Amino acid sequence: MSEEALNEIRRKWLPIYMLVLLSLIFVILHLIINYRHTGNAMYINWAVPTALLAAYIAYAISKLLRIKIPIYHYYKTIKCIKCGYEITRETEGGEYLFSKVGKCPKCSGDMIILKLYRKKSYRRIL
Amino acid sequence: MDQGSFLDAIIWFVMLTILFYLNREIEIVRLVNEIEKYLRMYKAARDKALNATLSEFKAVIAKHGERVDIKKLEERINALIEISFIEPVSLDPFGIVRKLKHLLISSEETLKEEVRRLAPSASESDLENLLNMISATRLLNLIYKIVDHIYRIGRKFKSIWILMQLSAQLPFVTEEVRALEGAIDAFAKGLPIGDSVGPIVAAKMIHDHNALETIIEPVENTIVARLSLDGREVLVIKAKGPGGTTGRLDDALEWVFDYYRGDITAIITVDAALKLESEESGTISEGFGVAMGGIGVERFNIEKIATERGVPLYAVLIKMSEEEALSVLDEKLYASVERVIKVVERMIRERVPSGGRVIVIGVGNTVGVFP
Repeated sequence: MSEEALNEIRRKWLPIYMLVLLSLIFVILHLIINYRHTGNAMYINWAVPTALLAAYIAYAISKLLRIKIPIYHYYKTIKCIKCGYEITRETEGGEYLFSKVGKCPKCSGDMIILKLYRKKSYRRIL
Repeated sequence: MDQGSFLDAIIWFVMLTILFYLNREIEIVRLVNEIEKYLRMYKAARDKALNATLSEFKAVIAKHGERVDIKKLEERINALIEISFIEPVSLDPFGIVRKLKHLLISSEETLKEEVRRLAPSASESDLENLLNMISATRLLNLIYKIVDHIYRIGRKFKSIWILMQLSAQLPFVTEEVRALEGAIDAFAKGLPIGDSVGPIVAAKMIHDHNALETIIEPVENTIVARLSLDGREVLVIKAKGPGGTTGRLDDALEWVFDYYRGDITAIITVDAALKLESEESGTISEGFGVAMGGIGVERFNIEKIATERGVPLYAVLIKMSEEEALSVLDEKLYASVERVIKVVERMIRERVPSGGRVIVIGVGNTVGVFP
């Protein structure tokens, strides 16, 4: 679906987010080291907003990593109308409910499609 | 204590005003960003649906070994998704339902002929599915264009109120977009959707009672089957599958009433209904009246027929979300089909006397459901 397609596009931003986060961490470390060596409060004053920005970027990355993209699988359940034998297989579509789809391997009775449904599973963004 | 000069006070007021103004501007930027995010999603959904519809047309045409002028086909489909449906004037509401029905039937027939011209060798069920795909793509296009229009007006006049109202509506619009996207997928594969539970219940009753031989098609795309249940005669009406059609249930009902000279004890309608967020999907709810969505033309006609003849109307609803109603069915909703049949049979036994005649109507789109 379109939302999933947009999530795929967002995924492409992940390396840039990581790069920005790493750069910010280096800047913060640099400011802290400078503060410790010089005792100049200006360094720590800049370190605080930089740390906040880094925290925001980290939060954005965690949000991105938590995204799950749903994947749909389509199944059909075929049942023998004589002995009740049932099997479930994947389907590509183009079939319809209650249509005859061959003979039962156990009793040679007619088999009909009893269910056509989809199952949802999730894939992580990475 | 120093109270500050008059100039300080002026500066303070100016700063405060700027802050308020900036706050409003930031809020507009935030709203614009949020709406643009949704708009990108709607556009992607519209484009994807358009591509899927085009691919399906090509696949249906190629299935029968025909050649197709891709450019002409694309042009025609692009024109079809821009088609407008102009509602009849309701200044004088007398006869509005007949006018609406005429418009619905004539537009449906014209569109069907148009699709048949584009894919001449397509089967009846392929035609119905292609029509449904065009209809869903048309709605996605309409939603995108309307949301985009309101957004542009809001942005043009920098109206925070227009943008806020639009932003508040977007979760509901998104639900509808998701549902329509699911519909495109379902119709391309020809598989039953959530809205098909009514026809599935009807079809299952026909199969379970071996009533396939009794089926007749008195009205276009609508079938009537006759079966017996504990001494009661049950007439099952549903749209004719497996193509994606909803049939003409009101006309079929009228035919049944004429055929049996009004000797009907009750009418039971079975349909999917939208659930509230707190409700479980697949919950069954019993009620009175006609369980039927849409514009209301068929519901009006069924109510009219029942009222004129004094026949009680019973309803069985299967609750689901909008997305579930238009997407391929999931297993949970199948489980409710069996339970609905039990409810319908209990209703017949309890509310229809032995020897009586009852009509069961499976309301909904019969895509992927035979017969």
